[in-house]
Amino acid sequence: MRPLSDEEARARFEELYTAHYRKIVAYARRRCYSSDHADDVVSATFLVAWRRLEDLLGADEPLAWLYAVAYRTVLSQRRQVDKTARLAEKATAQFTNVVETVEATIEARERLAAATAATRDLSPADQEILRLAGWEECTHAEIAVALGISRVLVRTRLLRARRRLRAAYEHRLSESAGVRDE
Amino acid sequence: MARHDDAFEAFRASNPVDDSTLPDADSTDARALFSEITSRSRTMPEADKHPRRQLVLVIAVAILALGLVAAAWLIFRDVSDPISVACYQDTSLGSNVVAASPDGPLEASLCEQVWEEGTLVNEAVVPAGQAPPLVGCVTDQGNLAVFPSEDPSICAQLGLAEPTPSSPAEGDTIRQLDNDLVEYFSQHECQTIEQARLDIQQLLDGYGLSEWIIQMSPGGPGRRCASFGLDAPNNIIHLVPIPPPGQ
Repeated sequence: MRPLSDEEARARFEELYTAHYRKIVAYARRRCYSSDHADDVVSATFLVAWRRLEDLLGADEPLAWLYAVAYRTVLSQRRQVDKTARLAEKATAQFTNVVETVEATIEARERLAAATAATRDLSPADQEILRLAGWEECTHAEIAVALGISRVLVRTRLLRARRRLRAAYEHRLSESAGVRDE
Repeated sequence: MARHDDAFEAFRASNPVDDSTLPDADSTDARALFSEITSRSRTMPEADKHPRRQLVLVIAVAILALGLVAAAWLIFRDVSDPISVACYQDTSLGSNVVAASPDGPLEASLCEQVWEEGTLVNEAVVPAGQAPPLVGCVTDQGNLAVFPSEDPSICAQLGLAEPTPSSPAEGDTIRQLDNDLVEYFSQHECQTIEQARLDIQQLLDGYGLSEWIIQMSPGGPGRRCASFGLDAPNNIIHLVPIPPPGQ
């Protein structure tokens, strides 16, 4: 791609920014320890996008390209903060408490709690591919770009991650059933 | 209230962010960020002094940094994360490192993007946002360790091997074998150990890895399915009996 003039770059960047800003904010908030960290991830992601605009414009999956940059930024933050185990709890507390927005029975609360706990039982790689598929609702092609892997690997990794999630989820559910029955 | 019978659906419902709370791109904060970003030069990255935007250090793949990938680790590591390229921040195995898992040949230039994006920064070597000269060395496990240096003797200084035309290729073969084994066991949820042995032997023959051996552990009550462990330094694939899924 030929280099863009300043005016062209600003216009093209604004299109991408407008199209994907909310998605990147959502991505960051779902993974970061605090709103400040989430803001940092969003800022850093779009700054990289601005500086590498030609690469982004040439990408088959621009949103997934942004997710890939955001992912590396989130990982660098986690390394610094070293509080990965508390991410799910903090994210839930920091932003909207989904349980309170729906008509929740005790059983429904247990299932959501089991899902949250089961996710934390998984490896970071499993968690990320599940989030991309389940929360960001990415296609396999987008996940491949976001994680920098082949589509074949996306399929196998996602299958295994879902299998592990199911096992962990059922274990957590049986734990809570055991506690309730005591 | 809908029941979440499926674990994945329950996971989806555990999404901690309500989309209705997300700001639009035309919100005040979003426009302020847009203005700040587009006021920066695209071609000459400025030194970013703002502490909230400094991209600090990333994954420390300690095992690669130490070059101590023991056979036991290689057997039990999560094979969904094949590590092939380690981009180091400094010319030291103890320095911070970013792990990259490329879907192609292992080359030192794979780390350029990591430097250009600012994920790795070492202003004693090169300004932020630029890629320094890079030298790749080969670890005992056939992975590529990439250092910011112009000194071709850096590999010898660090006790690592210099890449030869065949050494990255060996790493690629093992990585591809690992990928194939993962796919095989993903598609066969409960394969018997004996059938897995026959199939994996065919796989090894296809790769020309005749010197590799397959070690089988006996199954037992409740453990009639096969899983695997890859011991690349010793050219062994271990077949391990596990319970059927769901048990």
